[in-house]
Amino acid sequence: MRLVDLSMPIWEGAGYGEILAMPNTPVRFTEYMVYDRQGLRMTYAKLDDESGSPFMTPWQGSPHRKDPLGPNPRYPWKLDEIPLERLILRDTVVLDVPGEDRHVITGEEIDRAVAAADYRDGDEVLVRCGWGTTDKAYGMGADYPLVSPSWSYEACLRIAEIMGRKGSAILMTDCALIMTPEYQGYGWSTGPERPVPRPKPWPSIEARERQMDLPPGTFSPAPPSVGRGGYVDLVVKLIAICKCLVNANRLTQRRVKMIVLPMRIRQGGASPCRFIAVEP
Amino acid sequence: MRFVDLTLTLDHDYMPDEALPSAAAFVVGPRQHADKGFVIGTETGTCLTLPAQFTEYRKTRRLHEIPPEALVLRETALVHLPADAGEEITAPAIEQAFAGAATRSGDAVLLRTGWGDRGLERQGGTAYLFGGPRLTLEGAGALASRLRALRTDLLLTDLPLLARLRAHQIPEWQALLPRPRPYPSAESIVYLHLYTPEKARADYATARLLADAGVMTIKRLVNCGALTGPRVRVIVGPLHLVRGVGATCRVIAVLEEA
Repeated sequence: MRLVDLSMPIWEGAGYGEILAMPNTPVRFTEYMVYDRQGLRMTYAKLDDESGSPFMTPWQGSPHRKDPLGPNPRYPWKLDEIPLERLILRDTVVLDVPGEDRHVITGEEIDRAVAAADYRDGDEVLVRCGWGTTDKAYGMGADYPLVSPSWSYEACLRIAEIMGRKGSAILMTDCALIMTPEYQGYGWSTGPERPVPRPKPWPSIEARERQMDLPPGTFSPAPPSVGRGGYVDLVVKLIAICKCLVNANRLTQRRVKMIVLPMRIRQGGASPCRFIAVEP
Repeated sequence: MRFVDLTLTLDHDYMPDEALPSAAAFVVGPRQHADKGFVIGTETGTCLTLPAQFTEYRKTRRLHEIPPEALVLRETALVHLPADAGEEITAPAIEQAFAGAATRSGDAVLLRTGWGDRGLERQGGTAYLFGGPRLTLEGAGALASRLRALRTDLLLTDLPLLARLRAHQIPEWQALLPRPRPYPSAESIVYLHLYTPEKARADYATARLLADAGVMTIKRLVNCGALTGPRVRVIVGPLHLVRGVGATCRVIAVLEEA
């Protein structure tokens, strides 16, 4: 048995918390007991529910948000309600969609990866570009999620359809973002009207102003030419979407058992998560 | 195969450890709040603590350096030591409990007192945190010796505290009425400003003995009553904090059953 940790680390300044106005806010640590004063260390951590490698259900925003992100979610479970049998030692197929810098996964690439894989009914799914690694994340800083491969709207719809047919419910990927940075970060980190220098994310005044200016219920002010975001269409078909996994390139098998450990938050909708692959 | 969740649920309305000045308030911030996401402390809920929490061991491994084999599907021996509210766990009690356990070299050890099976952690107040059984200094020393002899680096327990905190933190903080909020309240900041290394050494003496033995500890397990056999495998998933010395964690027991 071989264990491979696919969890993105969490640290101050991690790129995933720096490049969007909302929803992925920065990681902050405050040391309030310290070695040189009390002889021991305690840390007060401000994390986002999308920090690290997050586990994001259709109920993201709960317990404060009553409604799911989209209509008619297939699974009713919040973080503390998901049966352990759906999280621990899950049979998982690895779908290979090789992607270089800034690659956007297409629906056709999903189809080709499925055709080439040993994808069995009831499997969970790990879509692997092979791009995301901890070394890259540490080295690239805020550029990491902007340069990472991401998902087109069509790819989101295609995998949703396939996973529904196969009875799959957890989608994992080593892409830093699902929706493309061009779409999600438009007018903030990308596009001609992005503010320079880039402001800090929420709760900066710039992020608040952006929220005020966005049309209600939208993620992005991007024009249609930039494409659409397929996140909501996909997440309502699943228990969870899990992005920003790392080191999937270290897997040697095309089928693994996954251990998925979100935080056990009462009525929580999303959280940082640990992902451990078990290879036979 | 059956799974049991040994993790205390993180509750945005109430966390039992918040009765201490050294605890951090657990907050789940709504989307439009400045603290969107979470605010969480090193020892919120069921938590993993490394020896590196203490100055003497700050050069030892941190959370992001722990190999998965140390925490995932780890062979674990159960050590049953039933203890009542307020009971002092002594060295002879530790010796007796280990004598009845099926331990093997390198095992993790799960010390079960039954305190985490009563549901007190969900009932508010301080009964769960302060009313439970607690290690004496000699008991902690005996436990550390046993773990050293087993060559283990992981202790799990349903005790609510491994540091006694009864020299300073508990009596001094409980004397304040109404009881202040934990960090980052103004009262906590002032209290910790005056909390000297000598005070910390007295309060954390039992926990430090386990750090001296090179042991990672996990406290505040719940539902251990579901573990009736002598052995189990555990899966531990702490937050993956770079250079962290402790974090809230998810703990799952894996029971092999026909």
